[in-house]
Amino acid sequence: MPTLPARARALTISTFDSRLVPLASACDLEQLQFIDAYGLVGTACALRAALDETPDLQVVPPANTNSATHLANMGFRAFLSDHGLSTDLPVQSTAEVSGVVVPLRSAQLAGGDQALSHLLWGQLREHVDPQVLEAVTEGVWEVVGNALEHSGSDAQVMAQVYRAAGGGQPPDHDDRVQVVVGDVGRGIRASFKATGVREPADEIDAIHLALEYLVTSVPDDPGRGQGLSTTMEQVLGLQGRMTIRSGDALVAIDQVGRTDRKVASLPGVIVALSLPLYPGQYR
Amino acid sequence: MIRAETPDHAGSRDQAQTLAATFPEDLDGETVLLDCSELVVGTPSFLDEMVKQVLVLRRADALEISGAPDRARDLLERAAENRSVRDRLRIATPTA
Repeated sequence: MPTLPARARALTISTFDSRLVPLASACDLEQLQFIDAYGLVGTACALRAALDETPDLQVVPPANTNSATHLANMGFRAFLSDHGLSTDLPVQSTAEVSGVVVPLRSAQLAGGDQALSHLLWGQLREHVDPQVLEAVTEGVWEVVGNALEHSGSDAQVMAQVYRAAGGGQPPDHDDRVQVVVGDVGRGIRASFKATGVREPADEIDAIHLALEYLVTSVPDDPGRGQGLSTTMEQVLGLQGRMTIRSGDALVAIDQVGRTDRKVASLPGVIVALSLPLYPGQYR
Repeated sequence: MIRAETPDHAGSRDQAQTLAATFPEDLDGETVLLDCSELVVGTPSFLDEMVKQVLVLRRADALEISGAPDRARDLLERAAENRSVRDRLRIATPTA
């Protein structure tokens, strides 16, 4: 059964963190101190998957008030409510806080992704370089499109801007935007195998294949297979990083190279794009 | 000539299919003019699907593009190359 840590001390859930593991009967966030967009989308996906088998799943909110408020502002309270889960999280603040540009939300077919694109563009444009805005918005369309087409599930999306303390100009090299898309479908390897176009040896091999230009699980359509590869091309060209988690594999790519890791198996795919707000303008 | 406009945020293959569904199923002998002047976000998937729908599936004589940003023009050229229909894609050069 897919889930999260049963209980952890000073829990953090973030990109490159391996704490996203299958949940049992509860999603215990009592000790949560920090969670980023990747961690939240991953948590939401793990919960979605677990709910199929455990409809009365318990969600324990963070004991720390700031963490609980932040979690609510990231859209987690609304997510839980949408899925019929009760929570003691505070009500989401209406003020713009914590760099959340798109709170956790479900991306649906057709009109839904158009609305998401407008929201992301409108909320992000004042925070980032135009090339970053273009790369992020295009990337979200492509990744959400993949999720909706190949996973058999909807997609969870979140975007957040992270600024170093002070937030002055020129921007700090740690100032970044992170956009994450997750689903609870069959994963990349199973998608390839379903159509028989390719037979990846394992999930890492499947991710590598998916990143190749014009490699696709869609048969007899020579123009398909551009989404992930062109997204990666743009992200790397802007000094960004792309992380793809599918099944038991996690592949991270940046300008330095590619890192493959085995992780606890979760259903579906999580793709995270992380880009500097203003590439080449660090202090 | 058949004219169409892209939406400002054009990202999915579904959008391209919906737009192309307004065209006749057989475009043999026809030219389609696609106005991209409102395009803000145009993904590789949307633009590839437009090329596929117009030039491959409906077999139009030509797909003419006007008002497209630089990146959209590049992506359209790549899509047409990939589908071996580059000779029927015409992209207007922007005026200064």
